Amino acid sequence: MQLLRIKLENWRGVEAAEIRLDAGITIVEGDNEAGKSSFIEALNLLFRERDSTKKQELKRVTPKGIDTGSMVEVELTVGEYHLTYSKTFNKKSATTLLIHKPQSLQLVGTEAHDRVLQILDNSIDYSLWQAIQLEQGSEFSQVSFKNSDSLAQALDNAAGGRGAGDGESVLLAKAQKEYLKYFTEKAGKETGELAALRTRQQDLERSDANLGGSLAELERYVDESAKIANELGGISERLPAMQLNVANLEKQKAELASFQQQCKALQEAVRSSELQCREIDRQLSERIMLVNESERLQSAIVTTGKQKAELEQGYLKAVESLELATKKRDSLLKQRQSLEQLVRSVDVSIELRNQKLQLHKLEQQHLQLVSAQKELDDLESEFATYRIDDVVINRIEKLEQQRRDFEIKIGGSSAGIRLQFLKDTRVTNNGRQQLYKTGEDLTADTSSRSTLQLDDSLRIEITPAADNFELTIEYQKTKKALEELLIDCGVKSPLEARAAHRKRAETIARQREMRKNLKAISGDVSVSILANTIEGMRQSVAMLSAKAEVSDEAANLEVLRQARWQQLEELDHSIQVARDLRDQSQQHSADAKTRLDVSIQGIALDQQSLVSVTEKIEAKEKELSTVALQSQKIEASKELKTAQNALGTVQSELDKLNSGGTDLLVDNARLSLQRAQGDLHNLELRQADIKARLDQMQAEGLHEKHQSVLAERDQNKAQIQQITRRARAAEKLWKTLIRYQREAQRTYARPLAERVVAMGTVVFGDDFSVELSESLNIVTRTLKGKTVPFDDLSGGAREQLGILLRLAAAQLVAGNEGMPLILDDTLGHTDARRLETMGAILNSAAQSTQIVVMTCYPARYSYVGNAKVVRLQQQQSSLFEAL
Amino acid sequence: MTRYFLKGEAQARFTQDRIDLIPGLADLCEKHGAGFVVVCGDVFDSNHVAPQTVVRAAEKLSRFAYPMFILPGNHDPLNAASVYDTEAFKALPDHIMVVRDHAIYRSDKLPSIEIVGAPWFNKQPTIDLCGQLVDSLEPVAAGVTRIVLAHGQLDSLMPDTSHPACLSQEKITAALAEQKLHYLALGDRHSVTDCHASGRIWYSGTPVATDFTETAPNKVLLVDASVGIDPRPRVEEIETGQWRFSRVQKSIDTKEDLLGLQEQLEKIENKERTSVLLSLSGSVSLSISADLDLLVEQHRDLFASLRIDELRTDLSVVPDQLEYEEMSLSGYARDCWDELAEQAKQSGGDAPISEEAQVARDALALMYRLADRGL
Ligand SMILES: [Mn+2]
Repeated sequence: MQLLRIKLENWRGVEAAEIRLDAGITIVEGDNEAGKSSFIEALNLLFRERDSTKKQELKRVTPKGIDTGSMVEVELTVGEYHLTYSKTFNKKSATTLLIHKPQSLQLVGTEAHDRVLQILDNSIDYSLWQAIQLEQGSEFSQVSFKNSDSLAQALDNAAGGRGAGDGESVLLAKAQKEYLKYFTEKAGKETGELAALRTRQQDLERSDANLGGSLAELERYVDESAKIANELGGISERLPAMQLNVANLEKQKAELASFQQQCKALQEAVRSSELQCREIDRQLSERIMLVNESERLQSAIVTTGKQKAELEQGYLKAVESLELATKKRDSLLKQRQSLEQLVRSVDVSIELRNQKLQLHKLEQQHLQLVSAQKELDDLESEFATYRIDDVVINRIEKLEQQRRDFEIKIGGSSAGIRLQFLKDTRVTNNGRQQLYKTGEDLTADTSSRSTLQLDDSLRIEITPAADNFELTIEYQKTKKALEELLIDCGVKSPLEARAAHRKRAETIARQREMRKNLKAISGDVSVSILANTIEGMRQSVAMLSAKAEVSDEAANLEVLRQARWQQLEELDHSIQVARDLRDQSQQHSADAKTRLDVSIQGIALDQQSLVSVTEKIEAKEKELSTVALQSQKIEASKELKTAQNALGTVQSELDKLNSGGTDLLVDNARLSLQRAQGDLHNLELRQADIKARLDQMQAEGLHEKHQSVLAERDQNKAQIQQITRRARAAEKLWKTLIRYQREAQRTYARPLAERVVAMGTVVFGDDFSVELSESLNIVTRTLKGKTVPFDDLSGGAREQLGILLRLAAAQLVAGNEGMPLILDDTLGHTDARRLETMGAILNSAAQSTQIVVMTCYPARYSYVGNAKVVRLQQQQSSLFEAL
Repeated sequence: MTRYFLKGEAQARFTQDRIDLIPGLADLCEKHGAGFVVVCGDVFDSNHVAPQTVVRAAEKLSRFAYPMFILPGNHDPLNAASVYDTEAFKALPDHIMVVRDHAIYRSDKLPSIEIVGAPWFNKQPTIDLCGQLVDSLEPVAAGVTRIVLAHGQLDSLMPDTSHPACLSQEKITAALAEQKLHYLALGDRHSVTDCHASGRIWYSGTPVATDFTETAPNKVLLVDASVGIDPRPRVEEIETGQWRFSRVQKSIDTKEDLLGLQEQLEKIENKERTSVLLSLSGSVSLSISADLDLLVEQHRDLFASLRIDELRTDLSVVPDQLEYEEMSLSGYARDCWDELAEQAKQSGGDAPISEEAQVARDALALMYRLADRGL
């Protein structure tokens, strides 16, 4: 089919317009509102709607206030036909068909409409044609090729006849329906009856588990109940024996208590008997002790009496010895007194002699002292005449020297000094020592002050001469001072002064000597004291001479004195012996007296005690005779024996009864019985409890419930198996079928895809490819190894692919009878570079397919090489034109 | 008793028939002049049956005119939860007696009869209850017939006799020889069994069939073991139940075979009390297979149950050439068919069909059905 011309009148804003179309590509330019879309709309409505239609869609195309309707007229070739077809809608509606070829014919109205459809149907795939039109704004959606038989046929032919017929489609639909009975469409999960059965099965399994659990619990109760019944039986069986045991043990315990009481009484009896016996024994032994004491005292008194007599004898002897010793001592003392008298007289004689000697010595000394004193006194008076002492002589010599020095100086010349040594002399000349031999000379210089010392005997001081005047004055002063001093001293010359000074020194030395002699004679005693002493001594000698019995002239006084002393000492020794002897005797006598007194006292005490003991014995006998007491004792012993025997018997009975164990046994037996009764009670309670639970559970009819669950579970299981088998068959069939169908589809869609790829390579590049769906839509685009779903592509890419797909479809059917492709204002999202390649594609496609591009942006299509451009002007209404 | 393959009303019918057996037994007693009935255990499936089950059974028993001796078995042991201790049972007339111990049970109406039983007290006895009982028995007094009731498996019939609760046949025969009893009525086995040459030890089977595994079910035994009837007691098997559990085995390869099966099924009487388990073998075309499914479908509701025993069925469904042509497949549908047919062939020889091949066959059958036998 090829559109040659389209004409509109009164169509929306278009009063009247006509475009002529090229066989190749025609670009219809026009501003907005110029009516581009109106052409497309009119074209569609022309073929689709009858002129009589009352559709709102059509009502709107006719402008208001105009008498005539909206008219569209198309001139086209299709198949062998060349025709002009027009319709007027809304007002003065009409349909006109003018067939120019093959035979001229004019038809109007319905006939015309039907005839056009018939012609189109025979020649082109009208639905495909509808599908490939690209209206403004629809560029991003894909093409619906659903009802396109011609495309299908073309593809089928291209695929070699493997395309599906109606039969397959029906089968596929049925298989899918069957599959969807059991599985969800998308996830392929079990659904419907099968899923419900499985859910039910799970519920049943759960119920089974619950009921099984309850039944098991029930059985556990039953088992426990049986066990308890068993235990209860056992306890009931044991109980009477236990009760009997308790009774027996209690009886035994009572017996035991009575024995124990008896035992206690007997023990008391034994104890009191024992006490009685012991008391009697005590009394008896007390009496024996008293008798014994009495006997002892009596014999003691006798023995002590004998001793006393002996002691008296001893005492008398001792007194006698003492008297003898005293006499001896007194006689010796008298002897001693006379001997002492003798000794004393010899001593007086000796004293006298000694004092006489002493007196003589003192008288001699006295004489010496007096003479020495007189000599000293003489010297003292002589000494008083010597007035020149050491100080005075020094002053004289010094003044004499000065005078001599002045005389030398005043002499005016100073002579040299020549010393001629007469013996070896050591000279110190101004501090320097030098030895001068005999005959050597030393000449000294006198012009300067110097000193020469010869050995230790002579020092020579040399002073040089001074001014004579001054010297003379000084000389006179010195000479006068010397003469006055000599007058004071009572001498005439220094020489005389020196002799006087020497005499004074000699006197002092003699005085010192005489005083020393005096001291040697007297010691420190003065003469008067010595004289007194001598007088005292003379009186003492006189006194002694009067007393002296023996002559002090006797030569043997000392020997005599010695002998008498020896006698005295011997006597003293004898006296001491006699004294000791007496002391001893005195001690002996005192001791004997003491012993005697003790003995006498002891006898008195014993006698006193004896009286007391005897009294006690008599008192006791008077109270109860010892014989009676002894018979009492025999009686008491018998009683004790009897009680002990009885106690032994009872004790052995008690031992036999195992007194300790019985209490334990009774207690234990009672407790055991109590426990058994307690157990019995508890078990009965538990049994009752179980019974109640069982009754309660029994009422539920668990068995049937469980059985019916099990039955339903098994039925369900069988059903699941059956349905699963069907489901798997359906799944198998569906999946196999759809796999082959898709395979076929792919084979079928391949030519279309190949055409898209052929064109797309120009636009997108060499490695471009697309995948088409079974409904022949683009699923993905692959570029540079990257596959992107169609819906995720950019707007530009989508619109480009949309155009390519339409072109491809149009070209695919072009072999039979091509159909025009109308593009309404597309490529708005396409960049300049792609516009160029798209232009090339459109240009190329236009060789086999008529293309009409409506656009208000002609620049977009400037790259289309061989295009016819039609400018659509905004048409003024005829009304205005007429004006 | 609940059978999983019985649905709804069939199950109700089964349950009701089991209860109705009690009056049925009374009728038989009257008809055959029986003096009393002994039931050797498992009257109830469990002690935990619903109260209404107990009440209904007790109601029937309360109307039962003949002395009856009921022995608790392993399913209804005399434990703390025993059905025999329910109010309903306690209220039964005196001549309906539950054997609760080793005592000798008598009835005023039966002066020369002694009944002794070995009831079960729990589900897992650890001893031979029957042996224990007969050991304790004294020889029977002259002129008295003693029947012993026991429940459990007789060792002479068991492959494995190690279980301590097995009933010792030796002890029983010894007791028989010592005149301690005249007849041992056994319960537990669901098939009538004459256990000993003396003819004095019998299992009476089950009066109402319960499963496909039973041999000679649906019976009671009419026994005359009176003293003097020597050398053997008279034992007669009497039909009671109407329920049948039938296995039908059939080889199907052709349409004729299928018709044969149909005839066989149709011949079965009392279908509402019959459970059928089909074990099929052979190789059939898709259309025969579809017809078979239809046949089973159509008959299913006639029977108490009708099932194909999948475990025992080995039926190959293979499309034949005719069917293939009939469908006149084209396009990708034909490719699909070819692939499925290839997979369906995969099991080789006599080996059981692989699951995959089975699925492929089912898929083929489905395709055949969906294609409405032709595209
Ligand atoms: Mn049993």
